[in-house]
Order: sequence, then structure tokens, then C-alpha cells
Amino acid sequence: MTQLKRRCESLLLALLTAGCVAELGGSTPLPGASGGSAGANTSSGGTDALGPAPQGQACDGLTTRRLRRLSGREYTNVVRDLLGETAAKQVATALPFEPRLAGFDNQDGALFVSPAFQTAVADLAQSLAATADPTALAPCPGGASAACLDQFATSFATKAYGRIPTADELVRLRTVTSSGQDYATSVRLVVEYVLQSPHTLYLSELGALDAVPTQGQPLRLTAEEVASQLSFLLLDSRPDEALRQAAASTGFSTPEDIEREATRLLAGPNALQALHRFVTGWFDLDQVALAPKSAEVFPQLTDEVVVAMQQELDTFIDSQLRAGGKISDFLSAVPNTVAPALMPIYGADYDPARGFDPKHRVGMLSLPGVLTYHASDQHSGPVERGLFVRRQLLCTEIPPPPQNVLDRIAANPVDDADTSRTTRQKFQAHLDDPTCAGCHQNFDPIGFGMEDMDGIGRYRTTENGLAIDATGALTGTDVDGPFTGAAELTRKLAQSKLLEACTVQHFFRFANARAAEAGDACVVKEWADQLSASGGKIPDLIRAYVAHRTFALRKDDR
Amino acid sequence: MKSLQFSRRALLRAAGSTLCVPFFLKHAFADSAKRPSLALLMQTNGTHQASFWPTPNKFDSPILNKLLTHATVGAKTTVIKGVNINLLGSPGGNGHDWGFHSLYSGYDNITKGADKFGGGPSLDQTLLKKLQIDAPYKHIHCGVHAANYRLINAGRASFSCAAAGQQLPCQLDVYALYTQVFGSLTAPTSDPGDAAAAAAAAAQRLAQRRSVLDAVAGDLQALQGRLGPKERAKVDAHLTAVREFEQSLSDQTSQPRPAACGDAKPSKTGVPTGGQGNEANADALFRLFMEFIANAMACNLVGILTFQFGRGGDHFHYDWLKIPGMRADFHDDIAHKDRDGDDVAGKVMVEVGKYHTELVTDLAARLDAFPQEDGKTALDNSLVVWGNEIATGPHGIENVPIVFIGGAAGRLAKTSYVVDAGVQPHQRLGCSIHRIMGDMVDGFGAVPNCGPLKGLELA
Repeated sequence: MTQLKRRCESLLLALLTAGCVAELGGSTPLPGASGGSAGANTSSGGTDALGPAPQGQACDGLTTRRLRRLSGREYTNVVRDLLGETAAKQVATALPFEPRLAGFDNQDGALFVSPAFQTAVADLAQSLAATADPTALAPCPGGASAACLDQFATSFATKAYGRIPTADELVRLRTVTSSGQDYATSVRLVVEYVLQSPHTLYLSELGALDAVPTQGQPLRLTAEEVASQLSFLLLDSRPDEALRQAAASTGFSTPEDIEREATRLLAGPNALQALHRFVTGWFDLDQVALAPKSAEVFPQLTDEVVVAMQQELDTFIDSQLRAGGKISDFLSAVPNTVAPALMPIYGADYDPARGFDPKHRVGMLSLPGVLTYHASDQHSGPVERGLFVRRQLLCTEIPPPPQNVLDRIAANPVDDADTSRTTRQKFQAHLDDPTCAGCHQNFDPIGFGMEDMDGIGRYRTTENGLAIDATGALTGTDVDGPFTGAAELTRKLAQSKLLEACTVQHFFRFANARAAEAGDACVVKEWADQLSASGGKIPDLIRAYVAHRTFALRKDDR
Repeated sequence: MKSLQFSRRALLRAAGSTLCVPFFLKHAFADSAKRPSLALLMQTNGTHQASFWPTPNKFDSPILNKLLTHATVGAKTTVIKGVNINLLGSPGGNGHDWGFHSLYSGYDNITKGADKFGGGPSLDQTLLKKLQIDAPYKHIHCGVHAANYRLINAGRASFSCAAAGQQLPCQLDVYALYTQVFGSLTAPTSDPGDAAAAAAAAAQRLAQRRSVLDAVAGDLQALQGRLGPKERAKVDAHLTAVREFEQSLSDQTSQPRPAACGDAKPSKTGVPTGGQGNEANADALFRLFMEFIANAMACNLVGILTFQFGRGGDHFHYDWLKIPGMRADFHDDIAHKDRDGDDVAGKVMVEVGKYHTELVTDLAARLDAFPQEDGKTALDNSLVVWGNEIATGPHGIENVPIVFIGGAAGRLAKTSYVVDAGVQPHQRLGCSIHRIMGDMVDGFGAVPNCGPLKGLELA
């Protein structure tokens, strides 16, 4: 364990002072993890390559010029802005399911136009165009005219593309409209075309149309592209009118121009939703209702309770963001009120007059919604919870179980229905069996320390009539030491610079739609430093990001 | 509303009786015998080996009984024994990831962070690249994700893969697929005037859609010249998807289909089609998909159809089967524990295996009820490959259950036997399927010279 601590101290030092980047989902090799064998984790060697930048490779943090396909959610929002709420609802159910990558749905490496996606978008565009109201979309007071049609096509495409269509694109728009037998049909054809144009489906990070290859020098994005970068970061859609005007008037030629707009957008309602998505990705959360949970073991988890858990979680996140978005606050605040449906879950932990019992409840990790999501379907899931803290909150790599893991499980069976032992006692074999302990010692003690919270987030002192042992330990971190219970763990984590650095890596992925690579280490470090200096607030991280040179520059790969 | 798998009950009755095949159907599948339609099915969590394989001299087994002893389908079935998942390196993840991504690709999976993805193009994609598929929809990948359990890693959402790490989405909404595949087919009207007007309107709409797609393609082509190699590949794939979609529009209208195909409908409406958390409807969705696959293949609307009975290593509970001894979670509490000394796990594995056999038999029987122009059935002219991501519940990768159903348009020299030529690398499976589909390759996936399956007799 001493060796583990020493290595993790080195890791922290590397993260915070030497610029070594740990990649989300894990680049920080965990010492003592002896698993692996045939199942050893292997990198694709592609975008998820980790570790320090190879010798001779500059750490510039630049993303290569690219076309990033919008996620289903982003595309839905674009359609909402173009055609309204009813159309957006149709989009949301029409696109094929695409799983999130590392907690986020916008990852460039996972999104492309497959035949299934193309078919869905084409059919959807036809359907939305057929139900669109041409007189509302493209009113022409003097009677239908080519000028009206041109004006509509240009404005509709401008809104969808985030820029004015080029001359060639206007030619194509006119060709499409010419195949309509009347004005209304032509308007609908514009809708059908623009909704499936690549300029709508992708976020362009290519630079100017006439930009010549830069031969190794960074390439600057156009003002319109910068505006779209900003808007998808903070509005979750294409630029609004004000942002388009700002792009036109300032050209986003200085970091201050960009930061000013970011500050404006951060004050708006949509930014809250965008930052909310970052926080749920950071905590690897999806809807509480999707948490697998045994109705036999947890009959108290009714639909009403699940809804209340979700509302509480969402409200908590939004409250912290509204209060300034300080990272440590997510680990130290408590909800202001408790919904009646959750009173049985909180029990004596919440008193309307005195509030929460601080010994048991503090921060997001003590919210029933989070504890329910990060647990097993049958029990509290100390292994799952320990892994969650290690991997997600501390960005530590945990190798997959060795291939003989099922033999080990067979030798140490865990019977969920066994009521003669506590959950901890059932999983204690992980630490008693040296083969298992090599890996499990790094996360089971964290999960064991959360055993005071059951599988749906109820505080408990006994399980199956036996006393709960919620003593745990953090090792190999900057906040090492023993703790008892989820609340004390959370307080320790709230002091961790390692957690803060890990949060920056999650932010990098969220903001850049890709994992941090070795060549991004210096940038991640810069942001981590700025975050620390500014008091650890997420909006400050946003400002640091948009004002950074990497926001508007790209690596030219031509 | 008509309820049918095709609103063609009379047709099915007629076909089933083998006495009276409607005349129009004899012309409906004129081109179907050129190359078999192909379905690749992927089951998860392995099987109970002792109850899966037919015993010597008897083409029957406890799990496969319903299929192998079926009056017509049994004789068109081939069981393939001895195939091992042949890993070439040390891929991340476990047996579920290995087989899920490799069985139908021949490549080891790759790791991206915590997620495991296919390490190369899957069989559906390699075939598409090399063959001219005539069907309007060259490939559809679909499945049921409706387990009440979370996705273990993003890669396990789909085994279909365009290239290393490039996962193709799995379509979950069976109703949307009906609309997509059958939506443009309409039964002919009896009024010639109406028919002419409808045909003119359809032609005009088709021309407009083509105009739109040409403009989209124009946008993409304009982008191509501005990109580096990686991004150009992305736009190339997009452009291919647009062109394929445009071609599918033409194919739907240019190739005559029987009126019955225009009436194709799911037999049950209103079933929620959601993924995770929708296990209460999983059984209904499995059955609806079997119908859909049969309908789409029998009408020659889809060239290659891939289907997954869940996500990789999925955690179904199979409550609807009411199996005695079923524990909380099939993956954790049954499949993983199906080893010596746990008889209950073994018995439940057999029952779940029988359930999947019932589903696959239903699909095969539906195909076998469709007559073809050459006097054969749609099953005779199809190949349904039913594989499993792993061999055993406890992550065994040796002797993966594989069954071929159908005559593969005459490409199989014989059926109704067990291929048992000793241990064989799974890449040979892909090589054999390529050959059956008319692409005479020497290997598959990452093993370019593995050859085809030994013991499988091709015509």
C-alpha cells in the first residue's frame, strides 16, 4: 500500500505540476492491480492514447480540423429552433439509438452518418417538410415569388448552418426548389434539403472555405465557426441572432471578444442545461429510472419515489450551478428541501426544522438518486461504488477483471439471497483472497466505506440484523486516510486536488467532444491551474476554455 | 385493422397447406434465387453445452428440439460444432466483448477508454463492400435492448461495425422499421384512373426526393476536397449512405412486389419499443422482430439483416418465461454459474435456450411459408445464421453454438446434419459465409488465409 501511495502521489504531482494527463476512463495506471492476463486492457492506439507526449511531439492541445456530427440531442435542438417544439419531439423518437461514450453523447469518435442514420434523417426530413406550414415559414405578402423563395431558403439555411450559405450552396438550394410544382412544395423542399444537409448535421471546424494548407501552423476557425462552437457549448444548438451579430461585428478576433459572448450566454437559461449535462457526465449519471433495481428487494422504490429522486438530483445540480458552480460545493452542499415522497428514504436523516443530519448526508454522493444509480440491483453495490469513485471521480485506471474471475467467484460465491451476512461480509473475500485483493484493495475499501447507505440511498446501521461496518479508506490519493460513511468520504473528496484535476479532464472531453490525449496535457494543466486559482468554479473553467487559443485554432492535417 | 404478419393470412394458409400457392406470388420473387438473403442473429450469454449439441446418429437435442424436429424447417438446418473464438491478441474486456465483436468480424475487439468496440468491419459490411446487393435495403441492423439493466459499455450496444471502432447503430423500433421498409409499398388500387394518378404523384415525389439527395451529395462532394484523410473517410461514408438511400428509393418502386408485401404490418401494435428498462415488453418485441425479419427477407426488401437478442452480455431476467429456479439476473446468477455443481443454473440455461430456439424456429417457419418463383420457399433461398457471442455462460469461448437454417439458394450442398470436423477458428465461419454469398475469399477478418469451415459442404 505504501508503494501504491507513493505512485499515486507521483501521479498527482505529474497531473498538477508536470502536465501528465490521465485520460478519462483511465490512464492512470493503478499500482498493485495484478489482474489482466489475457484480458489486459489494450488501447486502440488511436484517439485514446495516453501518457506523456512522445519526445519531439509538442503539447499544443489543438484539435485537428474536423467535421463533428451533431448528437441526436443537438440535432433535435436545431430542428426545434427551425420548426418548433412539435417537430423536435418527432426528431427525438426517430433517430437510431446511439450510446454515450464516457458519459457524454457528443463524442466525435462515436458519431458518424451510418446508413441507418441517413435513412432516419431523410425520412424524418420528408415527414417534417410535409407537415410544415409554408405560409407561416415563408410568408410572401405580394403573392408567391421567386424572391420570397430565395429569401426564405437563404434565411432558413443560415439558421441551420450557422452561417450564410455560399454561392454554390445557393445554387443547389435553387435547383431543389425548382423541382417543386408550386410555391408551397418548393418551401417544403427547402426544409427537406436543409434538414439533411451536412452543413446542418455537422459542426464545422475547418476554417475558411479558401484557407490554404498551413504547413504545420495552426489554422484559425472562421467567426461563424467560433460562434457555433460557443453555441453548441452553451446553447446546445446553433447560434442565436445575438451571437450571429457578435460574430459579424467582432469577427471573434480576440479572446476577449469570445469570452464576452460566453459570459453573456452563461447568464442565459440554456447554459444551465449545458452545464447540467456536464455535471451528469462528470458523475456518470443517466436517468434514475434506468437504474436496474430489484422490485422484490426494494419495493419502496416506487415510480413516485424514482421521479422524486430525479427531481431532487436535477434541482440540486441546478442549484449548485446557479450558486456559482463551485466544484467542491457539489461535494459539500445539501438539498434545500425534501419532497414528501422521499421522506421515507431519508427517514431520521432529515428534519424539516433542523435540516439534514450532517453526519450522514452531504454533497451529491449522499443523494438517494446518485446512491440508487450507483449501486447494484440487489444490494448497495460496494464494488460498483468503489469503482465509480476511483474511475470517475479520481480518473484512475482499473484494469478489467482477469479471465479467471469467474473461477474466483465460484470459489467465493456471493448469494444475494443470503440473509445471514451483511453485503460487506459477502464481498470481504475480495480482500481476503490475495488473487482478488491485488485489484480490489484499491476500490472495495472505498465502497465498503459507503455501506451506511443501502441500494436506494437509505441510511442504515444494520443489515440482516447485523451491525453495519462502514469504515473505509482512501489510498493513493492526496486525501488518503480512513473514513466512516459516505458523508465523511465526500468531505475528504471535496478537499482533493486530484478530484479537481480529474474534473478538468471530464470537462476537456465534454467541451472538445474527444478524450484528452498526450498532446493535450499542457492545456489540461493550464485549465486545472486556472480552476484552482479562481476558486474551482465551472463557469470559470468555461471562460478559461473559450479564451484559450485552442478554442479558435485547429491543427491542419491537409 | 387487419392483423397479420402481412395481412396475408389467406396467403400463409395457402402456402402452409402447400396445395394452393397464389399465382401472383410466383412472379413476386423472380430475382430472389440469384444470391441468398442473409440474416445474422446474435444471441448472448452462451449455452448449456451438454444440452445443445445433437447426439451422434440423432439430429436432435434438448435445446434445439423444436427446430431440428420441425416438420419442414428441421430438414433445412445445419448445426456447426467445434468453432472456437480465435483471439489473435489480448483484447480488453471479457468473453462477452470478444465474441460479440469478433464472431461476425474475425477481428479482436479494441478498447477506447472503458468501452470495447469492434476491431474491424463486421461481416455485413465486408459483404456489402464486395457484393452487388439488389434489395432496396442493402443492410439493416436491429435488435432488442429491452433488458432492465444498464449498458455495460458503449461497445456492447451493437456488434455491427463499419470499421475499427466505428459502431453502426442498432435499430430498436420495429414499427419504425416497418414504416421504413414497407412504407412505400402500397397495394394496387382497382380504379385505373386512381392508379395512374397515384403513379404520377409517386414519380414526381421520387424525382423531388432525388433532387434533394443530389443536393445533399453536392454539399458532401464540395466538402471532400477540403478535408484531411480522416475526415474525408467520414464524409465518404456519409456520401455512400446517401447514395445507397437514393438507390433504395428507386429499387422500391422499380421492382414489383406482391400486393401482400404492401400490406405488411406487425401483428401487434402499441408495444413500447424502448431499450433499457423496457424488459416487460421484451418477449413481445422479440416476436415482432422475428415477424419483421421474415417479412422483410421474404419480400426481398433487405439483402442482409443482422439482429441481436440483446446487448452484448446482456442482463435479462426472463420473468415472462416463469422458469422454475430462475434467479434474479440471468447473466450473473444463471449463465455465470452454469458449471459443474450447479444443476439449477444448467436447467435454466436449457429453458432459456429453448426459448431462443422457439423464436428462431418461428422466423424460419415464416420464411418457409413463403413460396418463391422457382417453386422453393423463401427459406430455401435464404441463409439464417444463428450464433452466440460465447460458448458457455462462464465466458467459455470454445465450441460456440452456431446453426445455419435455410438452403442458401442452393449454395449448401446438403442440410440436416452436424458439421463436426474438429476444432476450427471462428474466422472460417465468416469465410464460409462470404463464399456462400458468392465471394470466393480465402480468409476472413484478421486471418486472410484461414479458409472456409471444414466439413461444411458447399455446392
